Amino acid sequence: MKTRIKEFRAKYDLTQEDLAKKVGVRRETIVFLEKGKYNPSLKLAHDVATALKSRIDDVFLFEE
Amino acid sequence: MKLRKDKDILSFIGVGLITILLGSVALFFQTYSKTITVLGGISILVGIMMCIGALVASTKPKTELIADERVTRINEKAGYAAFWIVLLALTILYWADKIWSLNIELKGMYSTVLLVGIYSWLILRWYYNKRSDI
Repeated sequence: MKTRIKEFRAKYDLTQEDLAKKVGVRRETIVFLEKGKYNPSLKLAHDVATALKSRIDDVFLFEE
Repeated sequence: MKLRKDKDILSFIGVGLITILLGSVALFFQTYSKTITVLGGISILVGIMMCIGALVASTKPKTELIADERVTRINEKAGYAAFWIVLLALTILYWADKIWSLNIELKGMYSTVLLVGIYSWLILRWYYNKRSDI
């Protein structure tokens, strides 16, 4: 799974730490999410997308 | 190195210091009972570990100590695997005792299995944290 979290973070000038605080998770979790190496729950995906003022399917790209 | 001085950290250190103090007091009465000596020693050790744990936690930002869903998932997976490892260890000890007549006492088995459980959980937690697809 690929994500555009880094791209959206840059757009809103957010560090990983800032995004982690907004979402309520560890910075480490954001790192793993950005690398596409962690499958978030629906709630976490929604919280991340909301924090980045986007939709889930804009932030998380599922490969066919 | 910046140390956080949150209320939680300070109260944890406070409890650790009180535990050390109680353990030290207990050691003064060691002539009355061996149990008091052992309890005193354990209290001092626990107090020291609490203080060290609080100091280590104070060096990290608060956000790194949150038990978020990833950490919870890792703990659950590690705990599940450690449970089966403990059962396996018990089974091995039981059959080893039966086959080779090792005369293993319950006290010895208890501490071995406890250590197997704790260490396997800690190692598995580290492993799942490093692994990407959890």
